[in-house]
Amino acid sequence: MGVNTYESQLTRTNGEGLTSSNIWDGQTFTPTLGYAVYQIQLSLSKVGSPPSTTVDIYATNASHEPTGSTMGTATILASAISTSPTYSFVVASFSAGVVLTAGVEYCYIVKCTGATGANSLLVGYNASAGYSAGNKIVTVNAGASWTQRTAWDGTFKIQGYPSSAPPASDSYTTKRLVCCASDEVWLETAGGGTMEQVAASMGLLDTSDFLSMFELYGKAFIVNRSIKKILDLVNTKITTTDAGANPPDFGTVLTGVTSTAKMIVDYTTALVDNAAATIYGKRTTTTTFSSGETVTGTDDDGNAISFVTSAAETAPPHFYDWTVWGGSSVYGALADNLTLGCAYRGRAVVSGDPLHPHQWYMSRVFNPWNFIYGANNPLSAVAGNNTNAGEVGDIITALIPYGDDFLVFGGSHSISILDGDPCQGGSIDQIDDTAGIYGPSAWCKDNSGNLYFFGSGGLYRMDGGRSKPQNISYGSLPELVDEWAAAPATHRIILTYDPLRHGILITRTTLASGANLNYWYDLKAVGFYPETYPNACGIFSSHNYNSNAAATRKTIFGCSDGYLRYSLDTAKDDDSGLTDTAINSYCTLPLIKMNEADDSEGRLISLTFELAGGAASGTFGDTDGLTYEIHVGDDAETVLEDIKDGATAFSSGTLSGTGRKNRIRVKARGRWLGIKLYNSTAAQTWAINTVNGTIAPAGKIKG
Amino acid sequence: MAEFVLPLQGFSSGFPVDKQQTMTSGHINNCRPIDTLEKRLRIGQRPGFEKLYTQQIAGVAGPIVAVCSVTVAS
Repeated sequence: MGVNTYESQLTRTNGEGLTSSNIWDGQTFTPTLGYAVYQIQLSLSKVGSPPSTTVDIYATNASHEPTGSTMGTATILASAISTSPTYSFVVASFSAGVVLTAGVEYCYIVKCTGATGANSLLVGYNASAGYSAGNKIVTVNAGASWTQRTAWDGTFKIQGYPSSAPPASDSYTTKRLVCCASDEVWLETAGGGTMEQVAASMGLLDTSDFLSMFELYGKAFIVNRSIKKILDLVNTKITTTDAGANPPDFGTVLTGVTSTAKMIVDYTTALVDNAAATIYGKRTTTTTFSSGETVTGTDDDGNAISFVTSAAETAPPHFYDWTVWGGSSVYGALADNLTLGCAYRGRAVVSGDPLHPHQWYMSRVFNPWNFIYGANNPLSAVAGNNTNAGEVGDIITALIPYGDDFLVFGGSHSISILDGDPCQGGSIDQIDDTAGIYGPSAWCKDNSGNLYFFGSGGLYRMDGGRSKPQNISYGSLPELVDEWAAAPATHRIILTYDPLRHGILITRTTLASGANLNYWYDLKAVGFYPETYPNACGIFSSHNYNSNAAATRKTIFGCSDGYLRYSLDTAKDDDSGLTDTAINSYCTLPLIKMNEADDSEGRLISLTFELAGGAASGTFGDTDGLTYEIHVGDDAETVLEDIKDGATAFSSGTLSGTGRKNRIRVKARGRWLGIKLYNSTAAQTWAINTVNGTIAPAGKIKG
Repeated sequence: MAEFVLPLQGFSSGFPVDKQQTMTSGHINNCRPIDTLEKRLRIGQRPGFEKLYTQQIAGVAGPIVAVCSVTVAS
């Protein structure tokens, strides 16, 4: 493929003499396309035998002078240059492409270090200009100062190929974590790495009361009974002491007359002439709104908008009340008390008003400030009592959106599904009237869209989120409900799907203390695993954070002591604040009947353990040690109870190191055999591949 | 020599102890079937908890009652 010429000026009228090392000649230029420069051709001539010539490419500063380090250097040998008075184009080749960005000004600089009057270089130029996106520049003091030859241009060709630079980013989104604790909101810094207080939120929440938070349109919406707030990460804020006779509408484009800044209005706090208003909108220009400038626009009815800013714009984040548009009843009203919220079909959906517990409310599509119910419009706001879909005949305990397809209403003793949009023929159908969902966060979805929730009978699954609930815990955990004795006034139940480990964490945390009971439900092995955590790690909230940064792309837990945590495979202890807490892990192998014959015993002769890790050290993970206990008895239940009660084992020992351990000779006689493995040592973890044993018949049970 | 079964299907208390479901345990805690060393199915200690950030929200030991993330165009 032939080289492309991206910038050029081919006319030559004169020549600039580089007669010393301090005289440099150059040309500024601004690419209209991004590309990589591989060569620059210059119209050159020489006098005598000048030294070699170098050509550098630089970025430029606001004065259109070279700045920073060279972006690339090419060399021209004197032998390639014609002798004066003949000029010809000579190629300066860059060994690596110099990547240029469209719309950004650069310059090339020609130097002939060691030149003299007798042995000098002549650099051709056009004294009648000819190139519109730059001009010739020269220095006589090796770059200490520059002269702009705005009416002149060099005689040049800048050539190369389309840029092969990798994309600067694979995404134009930024994600930030938000959490609520101790009556305030904290936000992850824009670049990650730390959490910081949203100062405007301090003391404005009541985290001892019901609180739900959900994301919609670049904002976190918080419903906290009578408190309804927004953390806005997308809009610019401008203020005025007089909103004028024609306040902006949702979506109005406002322009700063002085600054030329523009914004698309998203929300305004007031609509009253001669009254102050704060206006939030997405700024679409790089220029910013200034203080004291007139802002204009045209509202939906064609009326001219005009007001004067009372301060320079403020960048997000912003924390403000969630009200209807302008706080005006013309745009409906948000219910007084709300405790549940989610986003569904571009609407803000809220519920959980103790005075209207069966009611649900949805904002207008794409407008969470509009709650005008009952309008004859498929996009309009809608509530349960303003649509054929109707209210849910149960107290709503959870809102579970499934994309734009359907919304699951968890009830205190039922499950209902809203199919589609209530303003476009959607309907609500009750699909179960027995289980109910325990609370706002007592549910999660797996990676196949199956819904899991904690209900009156334990853990349930709804395939695809809409089949009849199936109790999946009763078979293995028949005592779960009784053992947990969960009460909403005392406990919080959270279900969290962990996509990295493909399982569900079901946690019951005591509100007052953080004390907890938990199960890991492994979706690969299909089994329940009890777990206990330090009270500090008691889980009050969770979120699968699909962060752009790998370091924070985690399943995150909001814990009882005010820390955000995650499960870390390399963590052998639980972080519990200032210190770590050892994990007391144990596992009893399925009990083994040592003799199939009635009233007969067996004798365990030997045991062989193979611990995980293969060869010690190296690049693969190694287990730490573990302790084993051997219990025997005449019946299985006694053996298990002995193990649970910590009865003295028939035999025990500690294994260390990785791989196969030496055979252990035991000679334990009994009808049933129980083997417990455990480790409760700080900074240790363990895993095991196999346990092998030799058992021989041992005759009739004595006695 | 026989290989003893590991309780890869976790805890179960739904059957008589002498008829325990295959591959389940009657006494197990803080273990998972996928180990933390190489993510193999073989029983081991669960992963520990680690702080995501060093900041304690609000600087006091109050529970974090809600977490979400917000995405904006950059």
